[in-house]
Amino acid sequence: MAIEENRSYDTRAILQEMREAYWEGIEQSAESGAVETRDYVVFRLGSERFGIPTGFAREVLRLPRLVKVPRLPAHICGIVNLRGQIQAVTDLRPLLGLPTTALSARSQLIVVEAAAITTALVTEGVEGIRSIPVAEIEPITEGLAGFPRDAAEGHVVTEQGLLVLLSLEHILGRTEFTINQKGE
Amino acid sequence: MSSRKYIDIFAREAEEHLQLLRQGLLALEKEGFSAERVHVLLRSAHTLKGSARMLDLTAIGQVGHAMEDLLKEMENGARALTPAITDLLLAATDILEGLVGQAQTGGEVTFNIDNIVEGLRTGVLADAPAALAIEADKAELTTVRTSVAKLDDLVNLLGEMLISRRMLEERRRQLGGLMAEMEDFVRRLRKAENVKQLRQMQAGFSRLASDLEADIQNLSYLTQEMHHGAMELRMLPFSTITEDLARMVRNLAREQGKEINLTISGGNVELDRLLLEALKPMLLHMLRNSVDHGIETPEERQRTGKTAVGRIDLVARYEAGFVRLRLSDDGRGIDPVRIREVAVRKSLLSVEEAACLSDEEAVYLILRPGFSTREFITDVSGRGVGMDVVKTNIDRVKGNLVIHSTPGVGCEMQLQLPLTLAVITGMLIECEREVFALPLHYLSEILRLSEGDIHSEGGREVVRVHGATLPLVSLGDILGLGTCGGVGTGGGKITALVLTFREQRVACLVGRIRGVQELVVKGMGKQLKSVEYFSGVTILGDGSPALILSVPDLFGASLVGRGTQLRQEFAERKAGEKKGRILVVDDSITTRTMEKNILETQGYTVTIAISGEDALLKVAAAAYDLVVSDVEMPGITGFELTAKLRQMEGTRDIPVIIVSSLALDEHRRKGLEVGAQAYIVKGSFDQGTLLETVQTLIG
Repeated sequence: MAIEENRSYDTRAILQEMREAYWEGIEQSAESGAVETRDYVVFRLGSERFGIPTGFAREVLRLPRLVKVPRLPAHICGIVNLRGQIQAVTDLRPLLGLPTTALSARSQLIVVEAAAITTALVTEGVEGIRSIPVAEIEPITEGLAGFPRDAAEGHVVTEQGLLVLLSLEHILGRTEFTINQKGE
Repeated sequence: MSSRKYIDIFAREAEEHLQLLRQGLLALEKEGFSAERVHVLLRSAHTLKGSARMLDLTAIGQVGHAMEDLLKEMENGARALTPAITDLLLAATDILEGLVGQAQTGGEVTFNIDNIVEGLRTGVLADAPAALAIEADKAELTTVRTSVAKLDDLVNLLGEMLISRRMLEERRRQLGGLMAEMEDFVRRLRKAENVKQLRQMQAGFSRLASDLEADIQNLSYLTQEMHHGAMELRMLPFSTITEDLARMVRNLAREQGKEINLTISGGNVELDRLLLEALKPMLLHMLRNSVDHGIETPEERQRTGKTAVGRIDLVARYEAGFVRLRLSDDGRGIDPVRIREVAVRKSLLSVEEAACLSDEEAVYLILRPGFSTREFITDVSGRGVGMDVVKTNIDRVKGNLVIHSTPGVGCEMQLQLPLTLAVITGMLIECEREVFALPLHYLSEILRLSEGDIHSEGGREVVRVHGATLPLVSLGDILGLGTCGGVGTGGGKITALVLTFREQRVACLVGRIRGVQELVVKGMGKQLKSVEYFSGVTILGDGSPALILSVPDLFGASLVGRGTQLRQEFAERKAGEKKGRILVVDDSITTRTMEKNILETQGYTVTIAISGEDALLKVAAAAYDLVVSDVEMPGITGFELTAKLRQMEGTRDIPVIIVSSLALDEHRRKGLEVGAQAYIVKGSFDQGTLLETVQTLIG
């Protein structure tokens, strides 16, 4: 399991949930035998639900004090102090064409590592980990205006509605997610 | 027996001898032949040979042996010291170094050993080993003495400790706050027994607080000592990198048929290892420029009445928290006319822009990317990369470069560098509620400006400081945050910092100054490789990050920005001032909004306070011409507020109008007793009465 324990107390509950979900997932796959599944961290963003492969996630935490960096594009929210390390915070909403409402107390960060960078993704709440049978993943709906197709692996239909599975390598590999204004 | 351990020991020993050989050879050339000098070299070559043979490092043994033979011939006068011989011996030293490196880490050797051995025997090197890179021994900076990586970790951890210490201090302050609250509470207790018990607890708290204070002091002292200690471990003397520089200058001068006497002093000045690494390429480029563009050929020098031998001096010295490097030559200097021409030709700026630059400013054009004055590309400099590398490196290490040039007489470049990169002294400033840190060495003065200090020149606002005129820019504008530090409605002056960068100065408006602190510098992570206007991040006492401003970037922005509009803001404030500034105090939002609107439509400037306490804070922060207050409010009443205002210096003469629903005569009397100028009953309250009263009092 790629998610580390975090010190802030409300993450503990989430981690517990995740852990349960994780074991459930394992039990299920053991029962059903040959069904191949993949684990995704599921989070809310702009009233939609998204998933990223658990392998990219390092930890989940409450939004600490966020310091804005002036003159940066909207998809970089700012920086936070993560136990003495400075961590940039990425907002996927502009890319995904979602409205950018102000962050609330329920906002959480998922620290992810992909495409040779580490960043903290802003979410409007992390739901937990979900095992998704590979066979159920459908290609993303065609002809979605403004939605970058290569940003998603596909989607699955769940009881709570559609869950879009993001392709983090593709997204964070985009040049606009690494800021190098002085070209050093 | 050539086990790892022995090879490592040998490598360390060899390093010393190779250094002795190089220094000795250069000294020999500079100060002339003497048998003793040669003998010292001989001993080094001999030792190297002997040790190498013990470890079966045949090639090193061979070269060492041939070198020893040649040196022996020189010692007993059989062979004269010529520049060619010196070259040969230096080349052999390089090869030995390569071989030692190979023995230690493995890898290929790309030159022919027999060739150099033959060369040493005959005194003529058949085939010069292709540029055995001057920068070859970079490894030296990262592998000396102890594991540098571990040391860096240690320094980082200590940096974290400094931060924890500051957080602890913050907690101490918070504890103090709670104790003050408790004290307030005790005063309000009525039962003697409770008071007694709480007093006992308070005594306990205060003992705890003072113990904590002492512990923090102690910890402070220890962490500081440790931090300094660890920092010192990272320091290396300047001489670590100068040896290569001397080599490079010598070779280059010989190639170009120039005669140059390079003196380096301050080799014992210690600098952060990271800084030295950044410094080396800078100095290489600057020296290359001096040799290539600065120093003339001996003929040319003699024609202009100079000595045939050119002079380059490199001096390092400590200066209050900084290191200053001065590189000066007595060459032809930088010709500002020519620099302008080239810059225009290379489209770095327009003819008009070039004409606007003073000679002093024009000189700095050489730092622009793509600038190079050599007509053809040489191996040395003239590739259009070079001085802009210097600039990039300087900005990276938060240094400052000053160039003085007198055409025909020489050129002097001064580099001001911090001692270390990991900790800077910075000033914390606030701008639109965000905190930023400014490296202190860019700051030359703090100005408190009032309207009369600000002038307009060519549509841009400027300030006069000690007889000089400086452009005025606003940090908030540059960062797109809004008008932080603007005129506002308060009566006070505005704060501007005078920043200095490469002899240019600018006055930068900021909000509030929070103070000066030692700051641990951190990078912004892999995702934010470089961000304009900022050079790094630090972590404040409360654990929140604060961005460190890049002054060079601010200067860049100040050249293109639209400047400030303070005069207009002042004028607007004045227009408001004519009608007077009024503080409205009322806990009811309806009443205060109504009063505010009534007064504002008549052109008064109105500020709101929601309680008596709030009002006291507001009058302390800014000046008002009139106070309009309610009586019954949570906390202190309007009567108490008025009484307090009358007692305080500075507010004694501010007229107070009390607006209240208390209609009894005794209330009116009370109002006048405490010092209010007027008493309006809310029942009879209408716009007219209030406005009339206000007008009577302040016009």
